[in-house]
Amino acid sequence: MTVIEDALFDLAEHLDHPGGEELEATVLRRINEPAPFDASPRSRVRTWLAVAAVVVVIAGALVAIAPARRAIADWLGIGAVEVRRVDRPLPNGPSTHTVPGSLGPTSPAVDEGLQIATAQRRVRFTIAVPRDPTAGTRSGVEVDSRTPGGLVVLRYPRFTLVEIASQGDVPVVGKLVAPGEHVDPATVGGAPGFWVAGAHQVTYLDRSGRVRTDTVRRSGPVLVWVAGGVTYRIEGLDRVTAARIAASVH
Amino acid sequence: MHTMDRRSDAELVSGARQGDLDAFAVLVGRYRVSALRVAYGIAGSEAEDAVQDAFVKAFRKLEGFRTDAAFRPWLFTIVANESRNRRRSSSRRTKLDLQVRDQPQSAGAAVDDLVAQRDQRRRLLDVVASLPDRYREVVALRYFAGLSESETAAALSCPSGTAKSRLSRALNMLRAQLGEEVTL
Repeated sequence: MTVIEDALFDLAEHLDHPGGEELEATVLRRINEPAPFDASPRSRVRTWLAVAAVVVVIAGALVAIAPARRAIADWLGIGAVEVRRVDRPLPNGPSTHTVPGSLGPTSPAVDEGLQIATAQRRVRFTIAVPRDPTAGTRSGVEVDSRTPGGLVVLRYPRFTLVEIASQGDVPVVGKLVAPGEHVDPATVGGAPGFWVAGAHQVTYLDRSGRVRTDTVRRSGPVLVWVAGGVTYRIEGLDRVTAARIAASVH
Repeated sequence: MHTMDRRSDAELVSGARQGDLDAFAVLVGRYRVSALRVAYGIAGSEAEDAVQDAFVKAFRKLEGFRTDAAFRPWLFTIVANESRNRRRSSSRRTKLDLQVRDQPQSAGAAVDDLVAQRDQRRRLLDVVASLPDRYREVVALRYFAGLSESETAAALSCPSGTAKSRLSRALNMLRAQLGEEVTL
């Protein structure tokens, strides 16, 4: 060991670096946070993912999927599937979860009461709004900062429009549909999408790659579509009205 | 404290892969300080964010981690990468501003000695901070985190000969700049 090496080891003990005891807690919190768009790229899934993101629908109630990313990919025909079906109704009752863009209790990551211009500075995509006059007057704008490219919620009297930056990353918001309810392919101005009829569960992958279904809420019928790298979701309208409003979003 | 946990890295990794977050927390606690030191040496004030990102990323990548491999160099590869990314994307392209801690005065030690030691450490750190990135990285991994030479090579994903010669070059650069100043 040379003098300079000794000096460097000694120096290491005296570095005034940032970071305290709370780092462990912060890391664990981040691991547990919902991550609607995981940062780890899986190039082979990128092309179809845009559509799938949104809607991973599994006929029949389903619980306990692990590892979830593989399960979702499998369901779409990639990788090996590991899905356990159980004949059990979807949970009901008040939501306790904080799925980004949901109508549930507000998370600290969500900023409410914003103006469009303020929200626009916080997301990487251009926020689109419905131009159809029957949409009504917008009653609220929220930004959820947990997604890398941003997520915006626009509230209208009869419906909610959610816009999520797709960014080509692995999508992790899914929907579980109970028996008797169904999903139809749909297009909005030529862009691919789905219409999910009836109530269904919303799920998401947490940062560790697990599907979280324990605290999911029930969602009403939604129209989901993807255009220009942004995923849109309208909730609260019948199919015909949703399609008309969706077509006016730009 | 987690540092008292007797389980090996491999046991903890295996637990974490099965979803045991407490096991992963033990690993975070075990490598928190050395990870911060490496990140600080590479990315300066962005160290904490880099280390947070690195641990979160490591957790997500655990599935792909080869269980027969050593966890420590694998983790520090991620720490070094995240730190490098932070450094590169940082708007401050100037020399890193690194600091030594002001130490509490220990009983019996002459104040003059303490001041001299502190000044010497500051001088050494200034010189380390002025090294080109690739040399500062190897110094941070080998000396700030205390990795062995072979672990340092593994963390840099380069042959051990390359790591060794880079290290030796870094030390020579430090010596050249410090002259005879280091008397520790």
